[in-house]
Amino acid sequence: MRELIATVFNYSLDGLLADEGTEFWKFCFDLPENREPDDPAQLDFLQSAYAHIMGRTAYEGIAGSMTTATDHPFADILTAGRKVVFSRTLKTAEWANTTIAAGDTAEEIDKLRRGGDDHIVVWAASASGRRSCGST
Amino acid sequence: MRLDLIDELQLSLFPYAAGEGTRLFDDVPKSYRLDLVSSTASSNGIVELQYRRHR
Repeated sequence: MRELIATVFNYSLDGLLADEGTEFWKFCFDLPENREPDDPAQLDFLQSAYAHIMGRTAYEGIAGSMTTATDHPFADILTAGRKVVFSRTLKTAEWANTTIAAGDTAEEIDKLRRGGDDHIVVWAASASGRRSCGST
Repeated sequence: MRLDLIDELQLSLFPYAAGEGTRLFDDVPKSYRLDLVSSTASSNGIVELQYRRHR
């Protein structure tokens, strides 16, 4: 069974994800290594994932930033990777290699888990829709 | 989160109290125990935390 690994960037001590436009967001992206994450282990973790799963908010934020900031270290990996958006309202997903899972979440996840022992990356999103790997 | 399907959580904890933003654990079951696997501090103050869901 594949494992679900949630990855959460830009997390504050008081338990909050950085929303775009906040002081915390600016702080996060003023750190160069965070703006251009190039840790080989991190890139390999994303590259070797069986799939990347996310909700609609995360999808729209990540797709928007990764298809415009194509020189971002994550861009090629995420564009080439298998992506599944969990949404009952999203009708089409333009980003390459993206499918929409509109059924029962637990069942859809179960289907993805089967058939391998690698991992699935779960992307968290802030309410603003933009994300850690977004371009500022 | 709500369905408790996550096996592992990787958090980049910043040296910052944001005051505003989106709560990560808004939607978890009432009791949500985790086991710490690793913690790595970097020179810029970010701590990379790796947890496994306690089963």
